[in-house]
Amino acid sequence: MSRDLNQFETLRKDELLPFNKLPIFMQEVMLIVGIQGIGKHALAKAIVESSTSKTLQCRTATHLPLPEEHSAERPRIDMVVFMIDSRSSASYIQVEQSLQYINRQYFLGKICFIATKVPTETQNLEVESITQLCDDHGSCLFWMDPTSGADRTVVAKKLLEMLNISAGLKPGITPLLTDCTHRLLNMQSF
Amino acid sequence: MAEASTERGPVVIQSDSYNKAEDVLKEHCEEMWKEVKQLQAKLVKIRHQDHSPVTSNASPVLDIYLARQKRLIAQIAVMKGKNPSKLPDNEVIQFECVKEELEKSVGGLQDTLALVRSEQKEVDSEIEKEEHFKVEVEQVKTVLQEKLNEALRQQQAGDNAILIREMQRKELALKKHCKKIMRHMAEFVQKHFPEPNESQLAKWRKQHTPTADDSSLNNVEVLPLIRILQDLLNQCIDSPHNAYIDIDNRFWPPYVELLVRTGIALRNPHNTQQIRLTPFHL
Repeated sequence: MSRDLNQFETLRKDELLPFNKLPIFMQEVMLIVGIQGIGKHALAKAIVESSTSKTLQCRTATHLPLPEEHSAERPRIDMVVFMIDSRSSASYIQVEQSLQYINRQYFLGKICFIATKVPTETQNLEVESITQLCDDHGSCLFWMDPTSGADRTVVAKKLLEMLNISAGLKPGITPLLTDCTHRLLNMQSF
Repeated sequence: MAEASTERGPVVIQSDSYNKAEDVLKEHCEEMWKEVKQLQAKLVKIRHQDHSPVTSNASPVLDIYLARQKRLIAQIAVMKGKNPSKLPDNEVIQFECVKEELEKSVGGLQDTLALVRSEQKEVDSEIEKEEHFKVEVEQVKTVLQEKLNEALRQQQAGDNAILIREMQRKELALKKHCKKIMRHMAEFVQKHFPEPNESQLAKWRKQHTPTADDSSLNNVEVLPLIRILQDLLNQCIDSPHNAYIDIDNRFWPPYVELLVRTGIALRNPHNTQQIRLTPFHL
């Protein structure tokens, strides 16, 4: 038990928390997690381009936990996006491990997965395993072609909408509310 | 700020009441910020007390759904207990808020108006174009109708006199035209290709006659170029099945050569002593 607790404490220390910092006025922050070369920055650029607010931040990381230095200056993160490369199982494992460092509060609608659409012959991961991961974490999944700019824009718009709600910039709507509807739609489509 | 609003606003509000309103708003914000801070502190405290593991088993979906259920119940309770928030009970603030709303809607409506106007302009120009087109089509229609009526009338009358007269008129015009062209051609040929004079003929004969006393060449009248052309034309029209004419001593060979070289006449491939007019009309 004590060992468990110790391990638990270490986990808690690097854990990403949604409410450990006070929010900044009209500021929304998104964190994109995924392995190198998956197109995090291109997606971030698309999100910033489709946004109308000037106080949007897109941060990127290859894995969690985030480094301890500068953690004081880091703003509150309103939403986390995980990117999975369908070609490499390493990206899947990295995302799976990073999920351990996410506080449960985030799973109430502040998380989203993006898997890359690739030709079948280069696909290394089973589609089932990706959807299973998302279902296990009760989050929605978007498929995106990393080479297509139009695809990226569509996904960016969806993410922006979710981020606005997660950051509390839409009065009367909570991330959980939208998440419930998302799940319903996802189930219908499967 | 106060001065500007007294100038533009219909309701004159003194600057001290503006200051008061600002104070009220600031106070309101302060209160809200304090509340946010308190709630955040509470959350951090709860997290320190919370000792449930982050992921107790391989699939955290059960945990997540339980947390979700809890949160949804809480949200429903909050929503039920919440009064709709209203503006602070201050005339200035209410006035400014309503004004802002109105200005926003006026701006939107102005944009819409501009759009509608431009669309209307486009539609108007299209209508004008279509009407112009309609007039044109109607003109064409009346002309066609007239022609049709004329034709029907002639058919009903049953005589082709008008038709015959028309054709005769056309024939006459054609003949006149043909004559004119022929005259022009004759003038042109006579001007530029005159009949060879005696010295030229003599020179040519000297070169091409093996014996000096060949009578066949000496006493022959040379045909002018216009006659050769005339013969060619006549032969072409009169007997199209055999348009060739024979070349005899009367044809001055340089002229024949000229016609063949310029492509006006063709030699018979089977008989070099025959030429015909190139069939330009085919």
